Amino acid sequence: MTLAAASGDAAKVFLEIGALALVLAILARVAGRFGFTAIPLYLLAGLAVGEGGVFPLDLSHQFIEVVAEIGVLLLLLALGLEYSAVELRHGLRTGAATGVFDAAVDFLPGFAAGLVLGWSTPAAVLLGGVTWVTSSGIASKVLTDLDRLANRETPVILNLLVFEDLAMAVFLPVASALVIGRGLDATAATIAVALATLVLIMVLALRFGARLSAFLNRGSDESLLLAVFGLTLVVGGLAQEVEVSAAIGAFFVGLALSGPVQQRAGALVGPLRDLFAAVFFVFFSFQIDPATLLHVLAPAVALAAVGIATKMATGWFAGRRAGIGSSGRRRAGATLAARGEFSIVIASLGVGLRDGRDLGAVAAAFVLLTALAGPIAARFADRERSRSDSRDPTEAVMGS
Amino acid sequence: MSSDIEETLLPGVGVRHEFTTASGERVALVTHRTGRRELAVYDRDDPDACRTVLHLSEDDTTTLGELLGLSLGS
Repeated sequence: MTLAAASGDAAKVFLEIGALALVLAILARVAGRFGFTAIPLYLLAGLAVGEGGVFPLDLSHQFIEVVAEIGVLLLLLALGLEYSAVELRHGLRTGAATGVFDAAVDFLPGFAAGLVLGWSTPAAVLLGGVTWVTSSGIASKVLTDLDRLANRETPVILNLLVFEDLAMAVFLPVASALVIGRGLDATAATIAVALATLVLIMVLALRFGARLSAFLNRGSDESLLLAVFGLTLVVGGLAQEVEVSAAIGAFFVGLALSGPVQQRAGALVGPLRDLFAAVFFVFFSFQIDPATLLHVLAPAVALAAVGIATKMATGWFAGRRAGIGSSGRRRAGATLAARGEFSIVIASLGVGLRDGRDLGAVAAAFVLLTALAGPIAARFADRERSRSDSRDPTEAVMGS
Repeated sequence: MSSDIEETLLPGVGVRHEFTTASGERVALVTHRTGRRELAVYDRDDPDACRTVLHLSEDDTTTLGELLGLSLGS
């Protein structure tokens, strides 16, 4: 890192990063004002400052890249911190049937689209992953914003999110092994090692998680933050070393922490994650040439339409299994429709591929469209009910 | 306990407890891990959705608990 090598350089870098952060602050505020996630806006900001953008910035790649990678680790760490071991087991059990349906129905559109676009198999698999995973961040925000946490379809949604997140723990290493692609035997060996390591990390996390949590909980906030941050990078680094994907290592660090320390770490890591993850999203689209984006816009729009329809189908299937009525099934599907952070993480694995540029552009456009349309659809999914309610004026007042 | 309380795990959020009041209204209490709570009454037309949701901070919950306890005693 040669950031501060010359003071003139440092001044320029500070100005550029500072200005960018201020723009992101405004975007986050706008997003908050209208009640949607800032991720699509961050992606747009990245496009604007990237090559061929409106205000191309000369950001030191190496520095930004490391910050962006840390952003991914913190995103996954925070996700892991959301769940306790009991919730994981419960989610895995109750979400399994829906999870398998979801995996099949929502992976296929992306995978097929990749093949139709003439991409290599690994790139198509990554696009399958992009269309598969719901943004748990957006889904839980939608549930909170629309006051639907007590709704009966909500546990169905949340259990499916748990299942998807765990499925990613297997998908990410497999996908990265495919991306490295050293022939069938070597790929199979890489995947085997990755999965064995994964099981090892999981056993260690569940076995020693409680002891580790109790030990960490004794320290001050400052030492806890540093310890969790350090642990995340070390486990992530080790996982990356055996090609498991650093992100999954970070996820398991989050899972390992339980009890009071889980709460504390979550509160401490939150702001840090917001900062680093914003850099990750900006950097991701920073690398996309807007010209490529325009080029893939038509397939991306079609894919978004299909991707929203397949999530609606998942919501319908999941809701029906749980005995939820048709309005609830529609709400569940629409809540699941938004893709976000995970899709971008998956697409970023393919940066080095031949079709990596197209993949990045399709993924960015797909996430942009579904992340904006999903929450709107979720709000709208209830419209039919309130319209039928409004025949009775007292009911309409109560329902609002 | 006079009525059956049903408990549902909400992964990443907390727990939901539900019961039916004597007059037949279905009521749920969502307890977030952060201590925040939501008291919800289900809709009669769409039993999966809520008609009213009341957001309670930890202090609010204490206040409401005291009020309910008070009225019970008087």
